[in-house]
Amino acid sequence: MPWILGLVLVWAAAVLLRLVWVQGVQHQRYRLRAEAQHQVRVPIAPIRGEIHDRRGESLAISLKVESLFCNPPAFYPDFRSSKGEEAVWGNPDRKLAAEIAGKLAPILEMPKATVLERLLRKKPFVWIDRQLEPGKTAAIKALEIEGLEFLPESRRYYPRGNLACQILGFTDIDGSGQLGIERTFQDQLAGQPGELLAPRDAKGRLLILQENYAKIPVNGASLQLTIDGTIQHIVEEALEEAVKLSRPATAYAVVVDPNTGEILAMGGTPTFDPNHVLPFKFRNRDPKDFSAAEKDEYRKELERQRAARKVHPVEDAYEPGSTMKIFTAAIALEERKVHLGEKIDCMGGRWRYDKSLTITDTHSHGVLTFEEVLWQSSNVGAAKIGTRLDPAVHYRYLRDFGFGQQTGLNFPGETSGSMIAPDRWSTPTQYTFCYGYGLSVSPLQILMAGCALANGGKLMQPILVRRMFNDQGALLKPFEPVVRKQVISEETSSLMREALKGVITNGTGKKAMLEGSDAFGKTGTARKIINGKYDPKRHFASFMGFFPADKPQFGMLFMLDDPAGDTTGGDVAAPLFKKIGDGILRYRANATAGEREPDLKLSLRDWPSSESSEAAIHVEVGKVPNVKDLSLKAAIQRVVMAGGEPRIEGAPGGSLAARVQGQSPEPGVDLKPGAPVVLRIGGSGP
Amino acid sequence: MKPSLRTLDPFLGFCVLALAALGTLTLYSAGRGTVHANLWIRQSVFNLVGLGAMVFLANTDHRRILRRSLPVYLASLVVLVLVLLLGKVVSGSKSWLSLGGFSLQPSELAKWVALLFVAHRLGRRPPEEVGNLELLGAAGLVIFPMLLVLKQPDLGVALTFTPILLLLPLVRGLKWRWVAVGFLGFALVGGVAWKYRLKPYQKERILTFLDPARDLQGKGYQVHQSRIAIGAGGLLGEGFTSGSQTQLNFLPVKTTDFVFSVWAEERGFLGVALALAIFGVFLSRILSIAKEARDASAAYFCAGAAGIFGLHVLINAGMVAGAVPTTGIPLPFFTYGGSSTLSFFLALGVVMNIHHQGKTR
Repeated sequence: MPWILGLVLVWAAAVLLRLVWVQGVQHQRYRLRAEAQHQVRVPIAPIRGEIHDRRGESLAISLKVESLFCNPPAFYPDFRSSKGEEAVWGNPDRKLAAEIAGKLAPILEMPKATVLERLLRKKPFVWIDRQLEPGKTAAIKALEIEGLEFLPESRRYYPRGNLACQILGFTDIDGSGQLGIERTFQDQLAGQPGELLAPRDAKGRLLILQENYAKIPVNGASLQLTIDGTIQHIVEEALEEAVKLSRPATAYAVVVDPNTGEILAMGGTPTFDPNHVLPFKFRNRDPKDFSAAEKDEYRKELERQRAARKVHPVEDAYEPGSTMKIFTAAIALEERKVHLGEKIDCMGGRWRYDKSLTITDTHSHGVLTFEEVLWQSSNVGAAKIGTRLDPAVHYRYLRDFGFGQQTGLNFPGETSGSMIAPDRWSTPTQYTFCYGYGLSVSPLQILMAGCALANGGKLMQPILVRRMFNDQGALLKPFEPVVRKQVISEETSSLMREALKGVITNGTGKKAMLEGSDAFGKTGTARKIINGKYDPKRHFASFMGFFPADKPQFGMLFMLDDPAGDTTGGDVAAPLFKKIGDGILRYRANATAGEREPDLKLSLRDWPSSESSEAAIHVEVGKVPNVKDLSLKAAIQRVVMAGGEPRIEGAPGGSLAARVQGQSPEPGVDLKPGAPVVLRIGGSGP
Repeated sequence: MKPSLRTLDPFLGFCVLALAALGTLTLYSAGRGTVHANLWIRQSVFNLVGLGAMVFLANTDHRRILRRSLPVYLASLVVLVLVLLLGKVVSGSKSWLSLGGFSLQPSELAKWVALLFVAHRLGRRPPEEVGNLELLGAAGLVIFPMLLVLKQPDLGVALTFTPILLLLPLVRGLKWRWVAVGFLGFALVGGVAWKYRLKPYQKERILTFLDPARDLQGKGYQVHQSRIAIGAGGLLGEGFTSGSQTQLNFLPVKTTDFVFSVWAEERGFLGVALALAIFGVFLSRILSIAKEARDASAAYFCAGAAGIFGLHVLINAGMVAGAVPTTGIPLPFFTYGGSSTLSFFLALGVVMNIHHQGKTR
């Protein structure tokens, strides 16, 4: 008897010791093992930072969309997860997976084989399709398939469509900026992705709980641009009209604040809609499946896209022509080689300097004053003034004005133009420099140089971003104006302002005369080089001007590449100055003073769809949703969810916090995919 | 005699109620969100029926039962043969009989019947008068049904017959030689069995026990996951219905063989110690009833019952902890199952009557 009891007690003690060992001593090890096999790390995309104009109007926002992923272990009946790679997969349930792939493929508009391959990929987590249209999401959710899950991601939306598209750029499906600001500030806008710990059961099914972050995603920073959406709109409208009128290859414009270097508007034709980089009919299709006609159309579309994505004011280098004369004049004035009112013999419009060089004017001029040389844009006069300068001094001043160097804007594809140094000059070089040939400049470069004449002699660095905020709306970084150089004296600057007023009142730029303000400026008509020769009929027509004349607040440059019909800057570019300048003056007169602080906070909770709960929204795809009294952001979200295309109307500059006052069509009406829904916003904004 | 609750032993009664309650709670947690979600309700019904049967037997004179043990024993043998002929195969073993909607596992009851009959036969005469031949015969009475169960094959239940054999040395005292012979015999039988008798799955279980990593798909997977579960439970456990191994279905057969792992994961070492302590009180109480028993047969029955219960607890707990190879032995009052639960209560009923009779001597 005691033998048996003793044996039993020893045995009991062994079991107990074993339990102490496993549950006590090795507890941590087993806990980690359990975690390793229960948890899957699911990537959580941060919200991309928004882009606002200088008055807080949203130019690029992030909408919440859902992406579909699958959980391949669900299709492996023998799947046994142990730690990490040791997971045993066994044979997949091909029949079930094929059946599900067969249901998904038509909804996703993807080949069945691709879907099947993703369903059966031996990974715990596989994206099937990203950023689904809401209709697709709803259709897939209705199927209630085990092993398929959705995660929210942010999708870029540009509420103003084409507006400022070349400045903003766009993002690809992975949220990577492809052009413009989206690309330049990719790192800041993108934020840091996070990770969610999702429990997984023995079958490999995931149970997503929103709170359980392994790494909290850091949302991207938001940017406030120097762009004024309204001015940008005025500019783009005018450019489009100009294109219709004189059919140039392209027309573009830059508007800056000469005192700070802030770019207020910048754009060119043609434009593109960053929301839909490809037209509807080409989306989600393999180019191989296109018909011959479609292929041709597709190719043309791609070509057009390529043209539209070119940011001419920073990427183009051109021979500036007559516009350059104002710098020749300013340098000579600064160096006291000439004085106002000085008589200059323009030789009747033809000056044969030597055998290699004859300078001609388009109109014959006799003796002109210094100012009249500028007003009439005499090449001979400009050359005579400029060549009084020592070549080295002349060159140094041109460098100081920023020619031959990048402006410091830090924009993708920026050109520095080209200007050779005096040691490589030949006899005609300095002469042609005087009236803008033999060197190339970028439009932005020459405008910044012009601003130095207007603002008292300071060369400013152009800037596009005013401030950067984090996702809580706290200021991360202000971008202050940068003075690159005091190029000429205050006095010379003021003399030049006076002298150039006459270009508009008496000279080649009469068509630039504004209604409400004095202005000054200079026309430019540069011959294009066609097949290696200057073609007398084909031009870069430009106008650069500033207003108000005494204390300029706006500096503008307009450029038409190869206009038809009237081709001089004075004929085709100066009217643009007037049209846009008058537009800006009207807008400024009506605008209430002060700049509203933009609504910058971004967080998962603040995503527009959560204005009321997700279930309460219940947007029906294919029907116009009711968006009255919603915030603009929420309204946009719902229209996009329903498959429509939001168009915002109403007070320009209304921020996304503004409420929707009216809509058209009315709620409940059938909505075709991509059809416009007009959202009218009220007068809370100026 | 009118059935009365006063025949019940409060110690044993408390232990049984406590164990049945803990067991049912554990089954509730283990079955949550699976096809086994309702098992705890069925187990509660078994417990209630079992409690009724226990009260009934506690009020039935055990000597009457012992006297009629021969026909019961013979009937049990017939049923075990019937199982081999007509039984239902569940997970590789032909251990079940279908009776109009119910499934019975006769082997669970057969060991108690064998104990009853052996205790009756050995207790008829004073120990000095029991001959060697009679002892051998008693051993045969145990081994025959045990072989029938092994034939099913159900190694686990067959093992639970062995404590009855321990009664034999109890009758005449244990001598050195016996122990030596026993060990030698065990080694011999074990060796021969390993070579010729053990099924491949049984060998696999033993090998897997020695090295769980060698078979992560089959039994090794269960042992592995069970060990992770109890290890993750730690000292205090992860909380009722919060054990991740349990709730995420990593723990296999968690309503039967590995139900104790659920308890260990969710209640931790303290919970395990509590349950084992209750079992300890339970077993020592049965042993002390054996000492006070009025007649030898009753004492033998109690000692055998303590042995069988003890073996169940130690093997199951040992298996869960990874200290013993995997064998399908239920943990009394925890593992889901009507046949086993009912037979535990029936045996307890007899024990309680023995206690009652001993008191009223």
